[in-house]
Amino acid sequence: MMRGLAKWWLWSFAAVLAAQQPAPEAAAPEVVRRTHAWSPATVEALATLPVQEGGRVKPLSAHAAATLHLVHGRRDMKLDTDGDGKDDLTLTPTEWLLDVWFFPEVAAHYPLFRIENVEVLDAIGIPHEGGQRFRLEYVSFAAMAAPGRVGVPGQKLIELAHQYSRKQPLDRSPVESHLVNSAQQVNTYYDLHYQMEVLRSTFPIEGEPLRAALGEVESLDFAALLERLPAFRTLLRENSDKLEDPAWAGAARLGAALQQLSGSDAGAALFPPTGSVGDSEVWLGLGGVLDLGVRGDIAAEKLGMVRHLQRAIVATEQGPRERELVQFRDAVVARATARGEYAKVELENTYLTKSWHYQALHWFLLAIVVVGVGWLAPRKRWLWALGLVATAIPLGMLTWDIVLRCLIRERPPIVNLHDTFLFIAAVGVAAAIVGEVIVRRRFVIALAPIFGALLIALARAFEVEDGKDQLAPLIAVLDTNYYLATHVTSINMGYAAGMFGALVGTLWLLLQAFGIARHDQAFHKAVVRACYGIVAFGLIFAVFGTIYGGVWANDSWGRFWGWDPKENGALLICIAQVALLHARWCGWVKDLGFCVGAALTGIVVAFSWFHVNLLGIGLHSYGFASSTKSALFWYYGIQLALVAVGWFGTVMRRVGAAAAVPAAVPAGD
Amino acid sequence: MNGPAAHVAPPVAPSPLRAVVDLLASMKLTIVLLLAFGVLTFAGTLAQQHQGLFVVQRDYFESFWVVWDTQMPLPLGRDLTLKVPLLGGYSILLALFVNLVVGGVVRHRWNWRNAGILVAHLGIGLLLVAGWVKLHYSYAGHVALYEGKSTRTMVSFHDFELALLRRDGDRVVERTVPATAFEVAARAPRSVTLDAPDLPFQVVVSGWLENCRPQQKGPMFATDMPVVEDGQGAWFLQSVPPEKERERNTAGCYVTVIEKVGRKEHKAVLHGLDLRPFAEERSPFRFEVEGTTWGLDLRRVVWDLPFAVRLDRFEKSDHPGTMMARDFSSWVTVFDGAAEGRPVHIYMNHPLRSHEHVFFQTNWGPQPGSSMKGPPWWSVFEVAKNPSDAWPKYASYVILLGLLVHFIAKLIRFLNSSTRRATLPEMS
Repeated sequence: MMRGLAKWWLWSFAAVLAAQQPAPEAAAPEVVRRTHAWSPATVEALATLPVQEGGRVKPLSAHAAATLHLVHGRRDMKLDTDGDGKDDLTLTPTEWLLDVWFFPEVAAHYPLFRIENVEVLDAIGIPHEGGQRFRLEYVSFAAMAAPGRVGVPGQKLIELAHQYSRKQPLDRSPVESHLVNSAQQVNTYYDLHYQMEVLRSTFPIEGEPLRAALGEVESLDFAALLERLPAFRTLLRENSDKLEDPAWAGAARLGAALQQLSGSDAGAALFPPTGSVGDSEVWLGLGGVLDLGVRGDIAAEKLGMVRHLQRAIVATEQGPRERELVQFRDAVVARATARGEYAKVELENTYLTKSWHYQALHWFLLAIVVVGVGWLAPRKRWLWALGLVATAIPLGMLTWDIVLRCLIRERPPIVNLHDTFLFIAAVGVAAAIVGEVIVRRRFVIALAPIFGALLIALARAFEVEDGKDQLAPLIAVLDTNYYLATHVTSINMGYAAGMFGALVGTLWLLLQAFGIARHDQAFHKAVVRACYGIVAFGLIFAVFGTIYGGVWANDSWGRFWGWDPKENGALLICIAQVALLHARWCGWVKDLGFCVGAALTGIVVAFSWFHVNLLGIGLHSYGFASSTKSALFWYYGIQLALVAVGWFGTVMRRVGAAAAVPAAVPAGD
Repeated sequence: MNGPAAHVAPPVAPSPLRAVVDLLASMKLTIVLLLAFGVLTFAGTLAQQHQGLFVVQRDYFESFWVVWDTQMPLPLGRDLTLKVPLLGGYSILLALFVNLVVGGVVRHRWNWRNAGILVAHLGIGLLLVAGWVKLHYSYAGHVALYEGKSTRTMVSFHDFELALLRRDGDRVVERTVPATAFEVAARAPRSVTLDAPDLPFQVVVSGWLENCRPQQKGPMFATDMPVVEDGQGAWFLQSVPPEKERERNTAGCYVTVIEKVGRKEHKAVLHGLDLRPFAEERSPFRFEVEGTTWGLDLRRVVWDLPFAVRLDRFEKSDHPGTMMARDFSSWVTVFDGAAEGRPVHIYMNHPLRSHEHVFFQTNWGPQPGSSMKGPPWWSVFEVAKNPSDAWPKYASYVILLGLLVHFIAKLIRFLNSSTRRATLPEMS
């Protein structure tokens, strides 16, 4: 709260300055003058610097990536350093974070905050060139802090966000939501920008008593002051009655400054506690270290860490800066290792660096081409097998990605919504490969890489949208590996089958509507059978997962079923699939009706998977941004349109066929 | 469909009983009911946005029928208001149960080929029965305790009751009327008279408000509500819009006690605010009739527990450096016979099950950001008594077994079928 007010005040101060200057016209894109470069070895070493943030110890690379994701919407920073209008340098998240910490004045000019609507720029007074509504622009922190048409844009942004945050998320317009999100991004960056500021500062040592106690110096830097804090503390304790005296004003001012700084930690905590995890789990920021110093409780080891970091901050040359920084990193790693908190840090860094699911996305795209080539020569067994292998390779990568996430978190595969995309992609593709081996008609394997690639792309889009650490620890109620492994896994297998069944059903409808392979009735039958098998497979897991979710709720909330929107969504999937199978069994629907039903079940699954979370009520209400909702409506619209086209085309084709051959017995429905 | 029949038997009209059984056993009825259930679930889920979980559960899923009042957006920013009558959850699930028993079990062919389906249907039947038992024979409430305190009662989340109290020596004799018996009829301008032959007075309940707060009437403002004078001032009930989360509502009403002899009246404002765990003692409206002091209290429904429970210690831990709860748990002692009691640890996903009651760790206080600071801490348990508590778990195993048996058998049959082999493409 206090930090928020302080920011407000700082922005207001900038606004006063801004009012004295003329408002600028739309400026040309900023050319970034990057004055330095980090050596690859340093970046690699710093990537595995353990930090504590969001309730867990993680590598700096993960913290940097999550923060960059949140404020920039990407996992890299592209810069135009020569002014030709084209990006010519790409920074990794770790490089970007090091720039922000060590060269904040340079990093402030990086194109950082993604503005997707020029009305947002208008609202906060940042000049722009076009009136195009959905133009994507990146605004630097410097532009946020510079004088604009309505004062300082950053201050205006926070004012407006404060105003709109009083509205319910679902009641906000897209521009209002954007302003609220942008303010959160600016706040996050603000903390990062000033996180190392105290290490650049010097503290004036004023007044004879203070100099006598702390040394005959004009000022002290942070590390030197930390060393002398026990003496300062003794001085204050023994002379508390004299602090009103003008001769002691310097000591009083220093005391007040230290008190303010010791309570103002922001960003990731960099300093592990000296003892074991059992003694204290909470890592410290620079404010926390200062607090330890004031209490006379700071260990030499921690002082050494601060000294290395400070030397790195104030160094004027890159070589010494990097040396000090690596020494700081080594000291932190040694302490974290002794505390048993480093074991997963390197693994997580490797996970992020390799990004197996992102690699799998590219391999799935390649698999689409390979399977497509296989369609050109349908009788070639080796091409069919090649398609299987081409799909199995990215499936292996994706599975390994999921396994690594499990190892890092020590949890089952799914603990948040982001995980569901990857898991559903893997299950869907694996089931498709099995299905293809059974039916061998190439259509299942044709859909599998499309399904996999689409889901991974959605996972990445969701990650940007969500802007959170996707490996974050769990809230208390979710802290049960048993139910995460049983209920969550099985319900998501139900989702996977529902979505893949919808894809296969849609495929059949389109094949029929456009008369593709119309003479190969066995092929069409095989598609329907596959669709049936997938729906049946999905039903088993959807029903078990839904009921077992109730069993979990009965153990954690005291009721088996509370008609919560998420429970209702899961129930809707079960109802849809049970109704469809019964309709098939009693002959109420045949191939056409079954495939229409399966395709529409995809909409039910999407409603259950995501839409119920947007309703803003119940125990699974996560309050996503409006873009998730619009993406859902796009999916509903597209799926309904495909079903309509497929159904109408199929019916018309049958009517045409019946009219052309009146003696023939009409097939199907 | 399969060509001309050699001989067509004259149609025989089935008996009415047979026709009813055929209808109840019909798979088409199953589908119609499932679709009706799907529409109801969808409508109820959307309605929850505006009406809250409790009201929708009661009006949509526990009712015989409901009118879905919805608005559909039209172009040009106008909305189309629709009122769609729907079968309620109770009717649908009851019909589905009958359909399941008659069609899915009794009329189903009992052979090995259908074994999986039969087992799955039995599991679903068990699940539906569990739901019915839960609806009619269970109740739930909460217990909030400070460390070191004990109780042997639990308090309802939603429901209120009017309690008539009379001291009899060192014990208090209670007579209660659930508010559900009169709350609708006692809304202004109507009133309800409660009477019993053995009581020397009647109680007239009026001005029932689902959510309200008592206010002292001052000279500077007027109110449409009745104002009741007591020794400490003039009071009235100020209506507050009901909350979506029904447990946040605090009901209130006016009562007039009319003595049967002499028709003397005693008036009061009752408000059901529950301040546990801060205040265990309540302050009922006291009045004297024929030399006996009585009390009237509007309170959340209180149930006795078959054992006493004492909170010994509460502990909450956060993920390091955050305010996100990692775990919160309570160490309690249960006194159910043995003098010294037995210690039990209750924490998330690990409730206490004892004497048909289940205690769940659900909340604690003082919460971060509140004006109060702990310690001492208090712990809140949701307490449920549900005879069918574990049945859904067994049902899920039965259904899973049935579905696996059925579909795996079907898959094996398909893999070995000539149909599949005939449709395999030729590849070289």
